[in-house]
Amino acid sequence: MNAESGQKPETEELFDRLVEEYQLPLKRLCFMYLRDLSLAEDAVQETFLKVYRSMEGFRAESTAKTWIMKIAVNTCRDMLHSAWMRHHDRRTVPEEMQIAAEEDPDAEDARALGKAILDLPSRYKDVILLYYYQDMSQEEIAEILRTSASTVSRRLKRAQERLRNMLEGGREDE
Amino acid sequence: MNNEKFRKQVHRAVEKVSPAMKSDPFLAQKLRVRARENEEKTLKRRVSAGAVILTAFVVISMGVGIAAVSGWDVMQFLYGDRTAQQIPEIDVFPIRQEVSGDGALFRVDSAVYDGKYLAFDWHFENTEPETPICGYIQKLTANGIPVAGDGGESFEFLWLPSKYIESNFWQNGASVVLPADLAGTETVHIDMLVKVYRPTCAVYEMEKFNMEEAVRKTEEGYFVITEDEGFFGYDPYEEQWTVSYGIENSDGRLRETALEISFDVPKGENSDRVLKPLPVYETEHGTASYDVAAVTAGGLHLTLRLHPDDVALNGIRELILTDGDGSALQGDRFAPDVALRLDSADPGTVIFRYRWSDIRPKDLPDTVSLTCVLEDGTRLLFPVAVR
Repeated sequence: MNAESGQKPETEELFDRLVEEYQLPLKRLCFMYLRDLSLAEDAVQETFLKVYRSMEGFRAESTAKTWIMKIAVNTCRDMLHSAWMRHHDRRTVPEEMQIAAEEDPDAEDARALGKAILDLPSRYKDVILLYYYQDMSQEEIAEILRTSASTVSRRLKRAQERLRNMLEGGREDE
Repeated sequence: MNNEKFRKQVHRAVEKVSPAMKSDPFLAQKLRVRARENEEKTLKRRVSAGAVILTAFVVISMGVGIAAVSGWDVMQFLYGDRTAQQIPEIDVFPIRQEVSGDGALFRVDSAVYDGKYLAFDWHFENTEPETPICGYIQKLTANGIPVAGDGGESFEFLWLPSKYIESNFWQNGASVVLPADLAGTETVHIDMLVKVYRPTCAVYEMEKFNMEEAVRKTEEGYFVITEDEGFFGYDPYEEQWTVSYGIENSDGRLRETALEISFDVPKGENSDRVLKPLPVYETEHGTASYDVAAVTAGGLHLTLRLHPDDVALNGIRELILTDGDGSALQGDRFAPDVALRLDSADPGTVIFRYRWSDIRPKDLPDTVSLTCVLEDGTRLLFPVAVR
């Protein structure tokens, strides 16, 4: 037993492993929500602090990845809600990003898709990022978003429609 | 769309729009220390924050007719029932504007604006709930420039009322980061266009989507709503009837109404206070400068950039917030919420980013410093004038 924290050493080892394994994927996920690397780093720290504080209560009813992603998504949403008070506007606009000399003809398409994902409303961004980027199942996503797998499936479909419309030149009704 | 192909495209797209990132090998260690240090502080803060939130809502609801009725305003949008974080001092500006048409009502009660960020609440209601409606914010401009909200829980194509949302209203708000051209503008003029859609024929709401039932009910002349969002419509891309979301699939069975609302939001007095550090601090161990030095509604922000000349400045024992004489500022609120050491792209440069969320200008002495304490106990001060 670690006298200082009251947590078992194996819990701390598990925490170290989780941080090592999920730090970068989480940072990318949080960046896609917050569009700012510094804020994404804050969100990752906040997520892992919540993970650390609740590790004793983690009952492995879901996978560690599902559990951590759920905390991260909620942390990002929370930060987005209070985004107005983060006065340092460091949010990255894709147009402003440094683009390396593009030799790959698909690079511009990838960048356009990335920008479209950034611009999705969050409930569609949720499912696209968790399903296609974090490679989670629809059931796992349903657990994270506290909804049904059928709703996740529908949102995925709709999100793809939205992306297709956005990439084809904007919303159909504008 | 081929799933695996699209998965690869999404991976590539995310990497394309993300900056280069690397792991911090000491993150777990740092977080464990922070978690232990903040454990007691967090508990204390939770208790005090509850009282502050209660006070804030009492003050705001007084004399605000619409907010008193709905209980929904910009402070609730921004802070909700959160208790773990103190509500900062914010000037809330009453808007109290509403527009209505075809049984739909859209209302904005209040807003806050600090020169860079603007937030407001909204309330969307179906006043003729016997037929459900849906809608979305099609246009949101600040001084004529399109701006995006935070992309949060949009109400688009969620049916009001429905099995998913039993009430006939949906409340939320928007957080807007103003374009650089508008930053600092004394008053921001907001224009919004909300599109509302109401079925023109009888509605049949399915609890769980069933293709046969959907086809049958559609043939009987019903507009079939499928669970919480979407409807049964003809998809011109897929060339088949399916669960649809875009109005182009509605085949003319949705009546559109445009609601326009405009309002001005003046800049609050409690906005950024940018501090005035020296351009460069010279020490016997190297130079330093502040990237960020500001007190905002979100607390005190100091980001210090160090250019060490020798190993002494690399051997920093800790960084503390002190007054101009190097005396540590005491109290819970002076424990940082963010304490990051960042590697710079510039070799030999170290960046420390600190934030204290609970600090307000009145809490600070005339001069503060993010002070480096070296291994031998030497304190290197980098004073910034607050007043």
